[in-house]
Amino acid sequence: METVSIIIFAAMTFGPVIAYGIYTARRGEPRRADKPRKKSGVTPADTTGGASA
Amino acid sequence: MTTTSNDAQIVKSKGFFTPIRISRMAILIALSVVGAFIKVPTPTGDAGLDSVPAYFAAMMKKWDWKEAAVIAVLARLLAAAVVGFPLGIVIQLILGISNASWVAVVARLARLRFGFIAAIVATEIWAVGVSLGGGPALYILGFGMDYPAAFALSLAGLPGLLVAAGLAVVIAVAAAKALDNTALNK
Repeated sequence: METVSIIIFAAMTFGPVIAYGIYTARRGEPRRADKPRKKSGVTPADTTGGASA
Repeated sequence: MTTTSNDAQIVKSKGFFTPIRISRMAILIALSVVGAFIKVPTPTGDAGLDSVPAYFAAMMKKWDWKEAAVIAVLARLLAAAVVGFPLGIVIQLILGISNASWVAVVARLARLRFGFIAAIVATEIWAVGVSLGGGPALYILGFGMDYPAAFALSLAGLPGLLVAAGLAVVIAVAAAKALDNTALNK
């Protein structure tokens, strides 16, 4: 059981850093595109009184 | 070869260690020391809030993950230095790398893929995994304990670790969210 615990500890310690380091070196970080920010609901037409041709 | 003022030009750093990156890393590492003095008491010792700046760096989308990793390693070493390197410097260095995996990879990946709440949840789940799966190894390697005693100690430290990690990541998320749309996140 001691050996299993040490192996789990080693895997959780070095595994993510090494795996992610190799992944990002090849493909870059998996950044998700930002969601567009919510609009206030006021459109340019509203600001001019809503009149349009 | 001599250069005149006409020949002089600004040379931009293209590597990892750009001046702005070094500056913000230095500030965050210094803040880690401040966090190391804020303790959450647990049965097996006090867990500090030294990892808040590393979590903050991990939560900033446009920053590099290696920044958070370097801050996490140094934060762990500085927090250990404050209390006199319990378990020894080698184990503390390994713990620092473990911290880097936790903060700069697991929490950051969750934040990048799913958002801030996922980062908090991933941090807490990883805390349970580290504490119960790999935690006993620390006491086995550091103190030469047998497995049941090491597991019991890890289990006893789990609530404090959960509170400290949760508190750290929530503070970092709040700060990162506040600065998300500013010039700092570039």
